[in-house]
Amino acid sequence: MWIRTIEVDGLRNLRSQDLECSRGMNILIGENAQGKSNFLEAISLACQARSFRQSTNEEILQFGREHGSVTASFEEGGSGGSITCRIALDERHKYAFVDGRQVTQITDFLERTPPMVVFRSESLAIGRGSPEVRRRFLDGLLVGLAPSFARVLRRYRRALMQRNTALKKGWGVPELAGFDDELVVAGVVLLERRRALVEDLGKIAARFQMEFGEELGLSYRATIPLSYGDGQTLEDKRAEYRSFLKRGLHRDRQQGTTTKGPHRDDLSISLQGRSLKRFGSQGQVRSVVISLKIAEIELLSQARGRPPILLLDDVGAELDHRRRERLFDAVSKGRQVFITTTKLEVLGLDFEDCRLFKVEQGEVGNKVAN
Amino acid sequence: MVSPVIQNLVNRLRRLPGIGTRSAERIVFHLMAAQGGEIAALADSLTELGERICTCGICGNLSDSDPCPVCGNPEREREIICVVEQVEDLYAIERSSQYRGLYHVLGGVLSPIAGIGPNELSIGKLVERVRHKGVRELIVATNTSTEGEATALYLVHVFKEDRVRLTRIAHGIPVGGHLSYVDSGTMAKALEGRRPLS
Repeated sequence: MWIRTIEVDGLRNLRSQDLECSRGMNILIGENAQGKSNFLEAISLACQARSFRQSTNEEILQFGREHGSVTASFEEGGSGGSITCRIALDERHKYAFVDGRQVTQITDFLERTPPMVVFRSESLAIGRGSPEVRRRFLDGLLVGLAPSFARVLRRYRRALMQRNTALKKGWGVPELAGFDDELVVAGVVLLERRRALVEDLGKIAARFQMEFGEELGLSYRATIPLSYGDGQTLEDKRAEYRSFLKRGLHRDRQQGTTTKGPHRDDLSISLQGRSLKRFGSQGQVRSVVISLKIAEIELLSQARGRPPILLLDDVGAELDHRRRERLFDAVSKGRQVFITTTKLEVLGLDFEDCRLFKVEQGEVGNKVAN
Repeated sequence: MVSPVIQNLVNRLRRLPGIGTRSAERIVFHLMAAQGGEIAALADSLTELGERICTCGICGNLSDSDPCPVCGNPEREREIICVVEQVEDLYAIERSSQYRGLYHVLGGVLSPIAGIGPNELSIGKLVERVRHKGVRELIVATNTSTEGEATALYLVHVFKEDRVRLTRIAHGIPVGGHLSYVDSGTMAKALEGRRPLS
């Protein structure tokens, strides 16, 4: 599935315009602060109904505008079918439409749009940043793999927020029990999905990292380490989780927050047997994040049966020649790519099925098509 | 220049649920063009609503009598009580005309964030009804939200020493619905709440 046309209106500094895209490589070239990343953000909005920068509606809306929208028409690879997805927003709400009909469940929207992989300089924080960045990476990928997982996440966050507030207010055990239960039900699913994902991701990423002669290891660090014994039923797992919560209740009350659970977990990454976060060089962090991103692309292609759309924001500059080539090699196999750069030479490669756009003061113009 | 009389009414209507500025204006213009005392009739209805509607002392339903028509109806089964969050939910169940028991309106659900604890809900009254009126079954029909589920579980705790049976309203596939259109969350609920056929 690929984006054939994209139409933006009233977003960031982008001129209202309608663009035709290549089903292969789309290169956005321009000076800094002209709107290249904003255009990628608009694409992510059209595919995922949210910005990869986690921006608020107010930030995304063009200054002085009350409404904005982005409309993308997607084409199915072989069958020739197409759908049009539209996200309209005002300062408070987003409205999603598929083929002109409003979709009220975000999961229904995500199940119909292609998945997406974003790589930008901020992505490097997966290697070096706080655990929260890695949790968000895992959860975002889980939603990409199965959009209905967004419900589990929402349920978990809601229960956590209610439970934490109740802890701060000193609610009793019986009043708390219902929220504990909600937390347990969503928490067990969240834990299992993350663990399974880390395993799958680890295998693929390690294979790519081996090409650079380095051994990569991923492991999930759970603050509630369920035993996952043979023949354990869902109910057993819930009971185990519940007993962890119970044991931590005194401390949770003192701190006024839930101290253990998936919201405190981490993904630990090792390279050559040593912690990447603590001992990895800048270059190693980059190459590991690339391996993770390539693994992400592979997993999404397998799970969804349609290749993800790739957004690469100014990454040419981040990488040395060899790693850049490896990345482009992995991404350009029959996939639609949007890439931004200040200088074409940085990309330094010839692509088939390529379209060039020049971005200047919010205007994205066709430059050369070959 | 907008007449302050019109503006005033528009502002009032806008505060109602589901009505924005445009709808409010449409209503006002419709009323101004209306014939045959429609405005007076509407005004009378509103006054009546304000003066005569009261809360049922037994179940918390809103109506023009206390006890409400449900509690006051001798035909209704008095050993079954359906527990709902709001009066709207009671109306939704009544519309099906399938339920013959009584109701209890909680007036909300447990929500630490909103500052609603057990004392803010009419749980004490429910306990009293269950213990003194020979209630056999409580159907807990709170929503499937986090808060609705938490409240349902809290009720289980409240009545764990009593002989009353607690049931949860079923959640799942809509009647006449196609399985292929059901979202995965609902499907999971439906599978969890399956019942024996034989």
